[in-house]
Amino acid sequence: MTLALTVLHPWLMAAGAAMAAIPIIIHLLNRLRFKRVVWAAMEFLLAAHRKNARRVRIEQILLLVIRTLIILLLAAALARPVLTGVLGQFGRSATHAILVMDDSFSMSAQHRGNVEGGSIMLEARQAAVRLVEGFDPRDGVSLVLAGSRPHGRITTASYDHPYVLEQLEGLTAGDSTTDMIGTLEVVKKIVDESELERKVVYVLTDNTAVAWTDDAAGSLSSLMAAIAEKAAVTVVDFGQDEPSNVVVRDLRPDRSVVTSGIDTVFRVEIENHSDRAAADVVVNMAVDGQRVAPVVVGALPPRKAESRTWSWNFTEPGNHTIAASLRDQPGDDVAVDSVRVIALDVRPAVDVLLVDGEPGEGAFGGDVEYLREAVDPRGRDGRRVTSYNVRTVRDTEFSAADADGVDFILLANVASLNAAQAKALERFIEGGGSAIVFLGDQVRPRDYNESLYMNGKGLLPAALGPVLGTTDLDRPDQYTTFDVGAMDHASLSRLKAQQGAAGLGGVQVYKYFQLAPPAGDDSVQTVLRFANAENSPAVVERRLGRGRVLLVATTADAEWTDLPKLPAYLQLVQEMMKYLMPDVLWRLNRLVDAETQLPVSAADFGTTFLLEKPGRETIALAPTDIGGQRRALVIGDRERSPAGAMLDQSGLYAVRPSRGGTGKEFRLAVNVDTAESDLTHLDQASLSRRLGGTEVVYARGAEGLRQSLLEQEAAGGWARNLLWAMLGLLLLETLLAWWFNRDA
Amino acid sequence: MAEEFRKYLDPRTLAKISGLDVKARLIVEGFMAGLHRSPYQGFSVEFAQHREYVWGDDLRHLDWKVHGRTDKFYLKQYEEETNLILYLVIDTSESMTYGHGPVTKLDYACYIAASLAYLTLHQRDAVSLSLFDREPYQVLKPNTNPAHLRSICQLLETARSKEKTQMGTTLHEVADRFPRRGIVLLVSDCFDRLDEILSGLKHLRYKRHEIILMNVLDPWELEFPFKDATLFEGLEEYPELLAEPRSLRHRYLEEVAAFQDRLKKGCRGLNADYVLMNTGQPLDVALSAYLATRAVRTAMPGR
Repeated sequence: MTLALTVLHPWLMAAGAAMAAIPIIIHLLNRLRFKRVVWAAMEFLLAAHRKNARRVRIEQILLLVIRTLIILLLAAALARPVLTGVLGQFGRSATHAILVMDDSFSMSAQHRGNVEGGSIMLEARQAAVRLVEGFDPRDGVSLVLAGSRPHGRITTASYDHPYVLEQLEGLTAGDSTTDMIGTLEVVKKIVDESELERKVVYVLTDNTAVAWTDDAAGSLSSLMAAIAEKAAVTVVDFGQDEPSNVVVRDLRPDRSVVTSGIDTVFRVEIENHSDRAAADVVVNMAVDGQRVAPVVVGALPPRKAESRTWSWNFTEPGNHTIAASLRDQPGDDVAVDSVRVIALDVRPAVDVLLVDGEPGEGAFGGDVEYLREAVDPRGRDGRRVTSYNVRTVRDTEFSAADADGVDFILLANVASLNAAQAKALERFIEGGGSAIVFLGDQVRPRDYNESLYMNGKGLLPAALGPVLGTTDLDRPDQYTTFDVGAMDHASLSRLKAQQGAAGLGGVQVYKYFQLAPPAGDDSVQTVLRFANAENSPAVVERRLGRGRVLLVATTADAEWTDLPKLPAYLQLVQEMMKYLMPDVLWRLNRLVDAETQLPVSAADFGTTFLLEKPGRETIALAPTDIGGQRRALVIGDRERSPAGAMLDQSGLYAVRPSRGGTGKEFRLAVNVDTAESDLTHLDQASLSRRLGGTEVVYARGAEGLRQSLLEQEAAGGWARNLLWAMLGLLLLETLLAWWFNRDA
Repeated sequence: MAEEFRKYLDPRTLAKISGLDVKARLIVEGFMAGLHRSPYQGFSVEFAQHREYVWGDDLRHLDWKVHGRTDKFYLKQYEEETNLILYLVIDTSESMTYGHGPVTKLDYACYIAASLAYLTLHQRDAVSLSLFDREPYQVLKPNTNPAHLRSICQLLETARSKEKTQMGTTLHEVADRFPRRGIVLLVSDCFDRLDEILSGLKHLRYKRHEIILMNVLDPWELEFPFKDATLFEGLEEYPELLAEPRSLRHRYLEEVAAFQDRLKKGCRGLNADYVLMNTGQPLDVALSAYLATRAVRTAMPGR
């Protein structure tokens, strides 16, 4: 325990000490300033003086001491003394101090005031250590981390201060982003459950704007308001003025399914989060750990992002990684966001399954022939020009196994799907697959509506109504076409840009189902409409889980429309396929603290896998049942994943089966959330606005915290006590002076 | 007219007038302006003859023995013979020169002495004057001649001393010098040792003198009104004292009161009159005290 006396205004203390001499000087001056009186009755006076002398001297000394003390106390009170340690705690109730340490990656920014190259995290940690060292043994301490998950490190009041200090000493800035809302939820719980009378919350953070961003429900401000009702909150801002940070914001291929043998274009985005231009920005590229030609960005204006394209041809399919890292950039405060990695499952091709409801004979005799040609067209020399690999099955043969490993399932004039088939298709879509459903005369609308639409709860984006139009050649007035004027859907933007919408406006649709999409369902949107009187939907999209499904009101072959015979069909199908390309990147590319599921083939259900984290830590993983007789490696899920199997570090994670497994080793890429990369810190006013006006104490850095603590101590503490004491002495002085002079 | 004379009883008014004999006359006239009866007549001490009572005569002078024998009312008439001597003993020591205003204690004592001398000489009584400090240094023998007043006033006007009071010695010497009994009027601030004062007074009483002790004090000596730090410069060889008067006042007044109390008791024990004379007060107090004592003295000649 330490005992220390500090004064907020030392010069006032010095002035006060000087002023304390005033009564003594006045006393001495008074002794020099007197009247002279010739006196006859000296005998009586001398006798009185002899009897009085001792008493008068004591009285005078007493008054002099009191007057000197009064001035000293006033000076001391003005100097705002703060006693820390034993005396400072005297009379104060025990306190529950909740330390919130922001250990997000932005706290790893180099602290400019630290000559040894320490981070602002180090500064914050040292300030926290000093705080804890200043606590009274009766004070309980909790520790909450604003970056790392779970946030609560010490969630009850700990009186074992050495343990708290040990926890603090081990703290470093991680790769997480600040989750202030989640953090405040933990803090609120601690505050609510605390039994100590006095509660204080210290939030030690770099105070970035991102950290204090509220959600739509206003959780941040309401949580803070609730906490501030019960606890005194101090936000200590360790952020730096004029931060400098250049970031690799994004690295992604132009398609989600990357195939080998063709050039894949990647987009590299670089952002300058500084108020100064970044010169000579160069991004080093590495494929599977091997450095390749860099991407030269050049000068990057302040607060601007720019993107560059970079292409690569993977000769071999399989798991590949690409890393983009900034070449040493002067004034780049944070290193962890200067690198971005991506893991790719490069396929030999994109697998497309055609489910044929009405197999025909000969070229273009069946429903799927036009479609197959549109999906995977051949050049004049028979060479493939796309990376789609199409396989066709009969609708009656379609099973769940067929859905495994394919990226697209296209249904063409399938009469109906049995329950198992419908379930398999739904899981396929929910898991990230894409489907397009073409209709036709085989289709039994009642079955579709019952098993696939299910009143809006199924996978089908619209209920099937009656079939409109006619195939009667003599009734062209019954035909319709597409409403190309209202083509606003993203998937059709390239078609729309072409003259006459690439001929879509001239298509004749003889017959079609009247589609009825559910009203008010955000997951459903109409892609294309007919130009008929009702302007009824021609193509409707539904998002389901991670996948999407398109429902086309007419046939994939030429039976109900002449579209398949037109060049526009090829374009339309290709654009739709491109639009629907399944997002397979997500499983292997996550942000820090996210979770992922990596499906495991049935052969490996019993295999144990090893997860090797970027820090070389290895964790054993067993496939987890994810329902539907499927199993997956669940990583980053606090409830289902083994301890440590968290995506809490940025970099490449390796997953390999232990001996006996059939799978191959592959890598996951985990990147930091670059929203945290903007290091601009909030000032007091901005923070107050973001907190909805809730009053919190704002302290700037360690020195600000020190001052704030002293002011808080002084506010209710010794300065006031001294003033009270001074008032008491003033009263005493008046009374004594009156009493001593009462004879007069 | 009477009111005009009365103002001369105020020592401050007298201070503005020169000539002690003039002052004495003014004091006595002022004093008498307030009386209903003149003190000049019918108070000789030796019996002369009887006269038949007429209406309006003072009953005090009826001869009851004659009335007892003859059943007639006769007044006793006295010879105007001087057999009363007023011994004025005036303290002129340094302490008597103190006065916070224009009138010092010595001035006041001189006014008393002169006015009583004037009054006494007008009553055809004899007046003697002794000035003393350590001892009597100027003495005028008793004389009834009205011209004696001039000598008395001249002596009083020159009376000043730097010496310390020694009343004991003085009173013993006065007692020895004046064997014929009379009224000894002692005017002093009595700043001396009490036992010596009383010893001297005792000696005078032993010589059958009537004693009037007029203790003259300045109002400031009685009230001690000082507030601020003051350096008191002692008279009569006393040292200086720098003091905070407010803190001393109570104790000082106690000391003064105790001394006066002891002095009064001492006087009472000796059958001497003690009169406190405040120099801020009119002088008729002095004259009244004297006349009262003289009346007693004449009423009880055998005392």
